[in-house]
Amino acid sequence: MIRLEDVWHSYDGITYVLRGVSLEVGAGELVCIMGSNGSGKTTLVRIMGGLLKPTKGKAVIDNVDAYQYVKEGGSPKVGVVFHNPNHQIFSETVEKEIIFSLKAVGVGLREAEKRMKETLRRLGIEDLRIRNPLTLSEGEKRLVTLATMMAINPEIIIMDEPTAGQDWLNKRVINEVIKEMISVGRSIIIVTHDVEFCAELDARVIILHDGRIIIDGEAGKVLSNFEVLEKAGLRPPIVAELISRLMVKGTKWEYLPVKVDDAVSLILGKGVKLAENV
Amino acid sequence: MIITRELTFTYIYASQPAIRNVNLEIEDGEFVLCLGATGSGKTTLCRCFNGLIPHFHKGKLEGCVKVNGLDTRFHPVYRLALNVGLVFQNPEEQLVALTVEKELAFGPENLAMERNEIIRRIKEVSDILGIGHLAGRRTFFLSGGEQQKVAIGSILALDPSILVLDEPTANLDPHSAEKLVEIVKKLNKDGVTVIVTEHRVDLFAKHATRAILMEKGHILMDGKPRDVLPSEEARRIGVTVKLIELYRKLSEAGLSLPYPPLSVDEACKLLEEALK
Amino acid sequence: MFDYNLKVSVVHSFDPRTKIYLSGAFVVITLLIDNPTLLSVVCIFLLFFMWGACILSDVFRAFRGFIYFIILIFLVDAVLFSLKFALTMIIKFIGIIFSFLLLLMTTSPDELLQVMERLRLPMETVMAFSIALRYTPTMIREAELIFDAQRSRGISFQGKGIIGKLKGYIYLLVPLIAISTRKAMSMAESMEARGFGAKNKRTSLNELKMKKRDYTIIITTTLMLAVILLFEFYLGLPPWATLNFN
Repeated sequence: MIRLEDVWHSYDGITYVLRGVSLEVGAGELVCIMGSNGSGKTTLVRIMGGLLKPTKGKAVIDNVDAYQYVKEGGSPKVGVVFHNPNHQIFSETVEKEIIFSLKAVGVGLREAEKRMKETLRRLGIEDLRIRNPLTLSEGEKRLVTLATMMAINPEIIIMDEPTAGQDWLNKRVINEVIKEMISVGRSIIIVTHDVEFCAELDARVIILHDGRIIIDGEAGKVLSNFEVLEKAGLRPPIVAELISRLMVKGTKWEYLPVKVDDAVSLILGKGVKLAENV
Repeated sequence: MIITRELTFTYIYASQPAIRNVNLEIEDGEFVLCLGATGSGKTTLCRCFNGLIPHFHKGKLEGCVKVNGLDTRFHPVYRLALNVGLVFQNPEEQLVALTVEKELAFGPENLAMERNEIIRRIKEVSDILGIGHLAGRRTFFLSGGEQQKVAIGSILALDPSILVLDEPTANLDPHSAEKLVEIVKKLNKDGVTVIVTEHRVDLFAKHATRAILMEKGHILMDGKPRDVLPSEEARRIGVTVKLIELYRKLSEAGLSLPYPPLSVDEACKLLEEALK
Repeated sequence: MFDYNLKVSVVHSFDPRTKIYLSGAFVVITLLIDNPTLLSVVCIFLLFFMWGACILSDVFRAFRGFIYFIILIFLVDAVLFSLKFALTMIIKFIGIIFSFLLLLMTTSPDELLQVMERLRLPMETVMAFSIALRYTPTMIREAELIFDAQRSRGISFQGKGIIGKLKGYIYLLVPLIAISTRKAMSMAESMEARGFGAKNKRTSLNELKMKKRDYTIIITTTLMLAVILLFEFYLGLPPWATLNFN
């Protein structure tokens, strides 16, 4: 469980990038954090990942200060899978890359090998095992860093733009892997622009703007709130936009279908939770 | 105009060709959307169009590519650069100058153009892309969207008739991505032939005049977006376009729309008709 | 120079060649003369230029970093040689620092590149410089990101002793080098795709033109420094103007 208590952060002592952010993510929860560039997302990721100490306020993981915790090293409770896999990769083979990380957090060799094989299998990239990670495509490299984090298996995994530049098949794999991890009690926090991906995940959605949380709720509700989305520089999911245009002018809604199946059901009259006036 | 005949290229370090037997004819003014999974050869194909293959990336090139009549094997990249511009996916890694102005001037400076000509071109390109206000800014401090615009501007300064963009929105936020699509659309309208490789199909689907599917280096399908996107082949390689999925699922459930919609506007119109 | 918020002043607006000449002239003068009084006069000239460039406060701030070094030089020279020598040495040192700071704080990297272009240095050299300047902040940022990414997957940079610290650097260096190589390749492609190498001589957007004020300042300063040299080597100074500890 990770909790942020009234976190403020400034890099230069003058402008605050984060202004009073408080949130809590429990075990088995899936959260998508969205916001435009400059909203403070990256700083939030670093603070939650225990890589940065907030200027004011606290970030705690199971009642232990996140920054202190990561500073001490050892088996991490939280791990961040960063946007650019090249910032991390340095081993000669994919398997060495993963095993190295596992050993660094104190996992024995035998267990490490087991976990490495397992995560490669889950991501469908066993054929990359003895390849040199530096020769892989960007998408494949991303999967390797994801595999590394999955093998380490911290309680909380934070992903920074996991779908950027990925093709459709990889996106699906990532989607499935996330759902699998949630089902075994991991907490996953995804920072992304990808509204459609968020919609497919049935996640809790938090939108950050100007360093503050401006909305926090379930995907169906948040992604239907066009004003808030626009403020954050995001477009609503395509199907939500479509349905909103089909409705009678002036209708107010609370929920719009954000997934294709829901939209289909609605159109065919099978009813999906919308709100009063439909 | 781009013509390729049995184009096959194998990178020097690879055992398999990255693209094989590609036969394409792209007319002036077309807007081509090239789709395929990672590794399908899209990027290789892009680099064949402007001569980086075979001049910069070594390997075995079979078949040929003719751009506006020039065979890429026999003309250096800088000659081809006047005809074809190539924009890569990472905007930051394309910018070599300290300031935006110098970046826009880079191409013309390379071709030893007169100073007045350079200034004229910079102004023209800045106007088209709306980046005049960024002139003296340092490239490092620009946002991703601004950087991508500068990269495009810097290529347009050479006035190519064909613009190739390789996953241009991969690193952009939604707002910048939309702005980029608008710019590309405008350029196409002004006569520039556009070839885009992308995964975010829905952004470009409504503007493209042609869609090409690639798989393992081959061209799987080549035709109108409305025919290609909902096809079985597209589905097989994993192409996901929400509106097409909607169209398909409604069809399966009994509600057939006359044609697959490629934009929200189209979908709206079709559904309003169908639900009457 | 690397501060991206250069001020605007008369001095800033000089042609970069003028600024280079000024700094160079001051450095040479400082090295040539040994008389502490004359050296002080040179320093006062420098301070005058700095005042004209509105960078006095910045210079003093930068100076704070040198304070210990200056004190050290003074003490060592005073002990090893003489008080007068020590004083002379530190004024020389200050003079040289001031000369360099004057140049660095009034010239932007673009101006430096313009001078290089004008000098008709090979275009690859100028390009290499330009890219190095352009990419330094990027590489610093990349290093920070690598640091974060590695810590997040369990790597600890608090190694024990020298060996431990060095080991830590490997985890920073390998990705950094890999990234640099990648960026270099990307940039090379981008440059080729825009015609780099098409002609042996590139033209330039910028134009360096010496204005009247440049010539004025160069001549005036040269004259004043020549006068100082004259005093140093030929005319000598009246006794009341010389610091004499003997």
